[in-house]
Amino acid sequence: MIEIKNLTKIFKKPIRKEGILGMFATLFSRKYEEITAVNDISLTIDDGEIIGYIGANGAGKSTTIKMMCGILTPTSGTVTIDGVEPYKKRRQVAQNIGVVFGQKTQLWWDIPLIESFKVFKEIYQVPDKEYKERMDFLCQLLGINEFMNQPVRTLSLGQRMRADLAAAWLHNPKILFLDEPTIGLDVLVKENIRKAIKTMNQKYSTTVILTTHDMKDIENLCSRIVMIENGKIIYDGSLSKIKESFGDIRTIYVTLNYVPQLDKLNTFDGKVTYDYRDGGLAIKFNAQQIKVESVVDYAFHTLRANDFKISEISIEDVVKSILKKQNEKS
Amino acid sequence: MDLMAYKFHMITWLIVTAFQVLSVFFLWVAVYKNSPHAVINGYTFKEMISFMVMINIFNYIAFDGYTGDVISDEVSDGTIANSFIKPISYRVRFLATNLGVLGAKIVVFGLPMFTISYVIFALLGFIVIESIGTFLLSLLLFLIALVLASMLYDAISYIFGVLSFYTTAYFGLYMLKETTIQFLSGTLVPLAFFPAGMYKVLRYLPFAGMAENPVLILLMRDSPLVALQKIAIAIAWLVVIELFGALLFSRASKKVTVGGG
Amino acid sequence: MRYIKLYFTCLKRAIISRLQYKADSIIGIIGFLISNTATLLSIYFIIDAIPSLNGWSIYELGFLYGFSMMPVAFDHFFSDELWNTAYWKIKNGKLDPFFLRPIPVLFQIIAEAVQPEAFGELILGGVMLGICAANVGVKWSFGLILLLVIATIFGGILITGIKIFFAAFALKFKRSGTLLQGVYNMIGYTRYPISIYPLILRTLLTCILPFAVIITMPVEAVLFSAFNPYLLSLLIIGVAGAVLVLSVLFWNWMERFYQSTGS
Repeated sequence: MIEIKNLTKIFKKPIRKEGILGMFATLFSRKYEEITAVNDISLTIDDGEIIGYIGANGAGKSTTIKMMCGILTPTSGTVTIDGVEPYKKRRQVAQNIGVVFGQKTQLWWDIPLIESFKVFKEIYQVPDKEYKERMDFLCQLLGINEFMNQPVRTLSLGQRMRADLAAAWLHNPKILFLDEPTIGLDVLVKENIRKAIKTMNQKYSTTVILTTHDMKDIENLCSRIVMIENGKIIYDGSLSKIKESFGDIRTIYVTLNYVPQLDKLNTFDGKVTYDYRDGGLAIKFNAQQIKVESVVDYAFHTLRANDFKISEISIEDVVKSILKKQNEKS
Repeated sequence: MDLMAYKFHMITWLIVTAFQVLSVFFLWVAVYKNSPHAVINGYTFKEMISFMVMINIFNYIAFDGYTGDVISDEVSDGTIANSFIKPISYRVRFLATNLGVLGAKIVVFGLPMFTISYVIFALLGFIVIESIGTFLLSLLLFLIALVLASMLYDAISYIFGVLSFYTTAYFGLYMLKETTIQFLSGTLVPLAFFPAGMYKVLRYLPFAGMAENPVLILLMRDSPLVALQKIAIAIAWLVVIELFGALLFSRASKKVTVGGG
Repeated sequence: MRYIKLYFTCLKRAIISRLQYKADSIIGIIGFLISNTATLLSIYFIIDAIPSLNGWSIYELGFLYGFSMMPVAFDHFFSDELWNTAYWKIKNGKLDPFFLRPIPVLFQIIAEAVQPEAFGELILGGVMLGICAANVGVKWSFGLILLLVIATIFGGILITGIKIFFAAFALKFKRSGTLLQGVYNMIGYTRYPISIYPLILRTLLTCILPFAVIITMPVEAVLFSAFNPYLLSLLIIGVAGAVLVLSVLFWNWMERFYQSTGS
């Protein structure tokens, strides 16, 4: 179990002047600015949960995760993993956690993948039998066998991510931190990775803390989402609840051969709104209030649309609408 | 990086540099004490000390390893492919950065350090200024020679960076580059100390123009005419080396293999 | 025992990594050879102009220079990654993964890389040592050979210890490459007879950064019978051990200040 209590992290940065002249000025000045990256957050995560930790860039996600892994010390407040504060007893906690930072690899860059696994086996003291068993399982699950003997630097992003996941699971950690595990990957690889995360979570009841910008990741994986903005938690609950309260907003983008008169279009009793820009028409509606098919049908038959794209609400939209709602409240 | 860290870096840099010059200083003190002659290879003790101090400052101002370091970094992490797409020429990008850094270094470090050393040496009688005219002329020629020296260094740094396309690693190349330049530019020991045959050749190689020649101009050991000749040689070498670099780049860039996908 | 096995696993990996860059290794060895030859030639050019340097002939100076390369090479082979750590690794956040693993960070850094170039230095140093010893007419004895072997190995350990100590500053200050480089360059002071320096520098080199103990003193024992080789061997082992222990303790203490970057 992970318990976060009143966690706050403030970074102090010297106020810098540009250029080498500024370097000297900075040398003798004592001014600095304070940046509150994480602001008094509290959270409890139970064993076996998959948490989607989401928010815009710079909202404080990475800072929180780094404190949970123990490589950043909180300014105030505490994080405990099964009663231990990770930044105080790093080595003890390390045996129980696995970390994948999407952009950085844990693997050794210039040697065949299998050699990295061999080193991890020794570092985490995985017994031979368990190592073999888990490797077989992970190879099958993630399909990493085919490039096992290639140097990591020659792997594609998708292959590398799968290899990194396998490396993080090798010692069967109780908690797995995944920072943007699907960023920049194609749809098939994303599916594969989601399936793997789900399987591992069910098989070993690994707790997974996941940050992502992909709504699909969250829909497929997370029983619970925690949303952070400006260092504060603005939402903590299930995804369906968000959809209930903010609506399952869909947008259909169509192209037309003509310029439509917006005020003449069917608004289905005000449930649909239109926006026309650059030769394209955006049709926005709440899928809980009106069936998708009826809007699509209308767009094709009545409006004679000739191209068509549907998009669901994005994380950015959700964050924005939650913020808007909070502002209205206060 | 916070303020403490920042101050730490500046202070260590100053101390470290001072210690480096110090060991050379004591060596020369001992050498002249042990010598039966007051003049060794054309240098008196006073001239030697001013030369060594000035050439060490000069090294710091004129040489910046940025170009080679960045190219080799880009090769090893694969970002070099992105650099090729950018509209600005690969070479121009580094040249511009280098000149910018040089300008800043001259203003912030070069000016005070050269001025302080020069004034101290002049007061101690280590440097004798015979006429203001010659002094000002030397100063002007020195500035030109300094810019040329930095450009020569950057051009060579660029070539070594591009060579890392072939080796995919830079450490060995870096060692080779630094050593060759330090030794043949007169930084370790003035070129006049080399055997006569080597000295004759080295005077006309680009390395002399990268440290020893500009410093000799600053110390007014060369007549303006000789100084101009040396500057002309440096310019000629700069053209040759840049052309060679361009040729090498056009060949090597075909070699680049980028990992991942 | 566990760590010895682990070290060899890591060593194997480090060698495989290094073998990927054969061309660079070869250029690196050439680079070190040229670097040392250049410095040596510089000394030669300078000394050639005078009869002797504080009583040291050119061959005696060559012997001193040649031997100074041996402990340096020993350290160089094993602990090269400390340079990366002090200069870039921490600043670029590349040390984070080390802190996320259940083994000591310092161990991982030492086990991260080996530097085969060091053999170039070792061979060049050995060859110079041999040539100069023959020309000086050194009367070798078991004690003197033992002393040089001990000074090489434990001298290397002492240099590693000092590197650890100054690389540790990077844990708090993000970078300590310049500081480390400056301290490391002090080894260069021992390439000349220590008598050319004023008392304060001699004290620094014997008592605070004891490079003279591992380089100058053994050479003076061999050339001028200045010290008893057995007692000096014991002194070197003691000093190197003390420095290493102190440095590792300091490193572990500084680890508490390590902070990843914010983003």
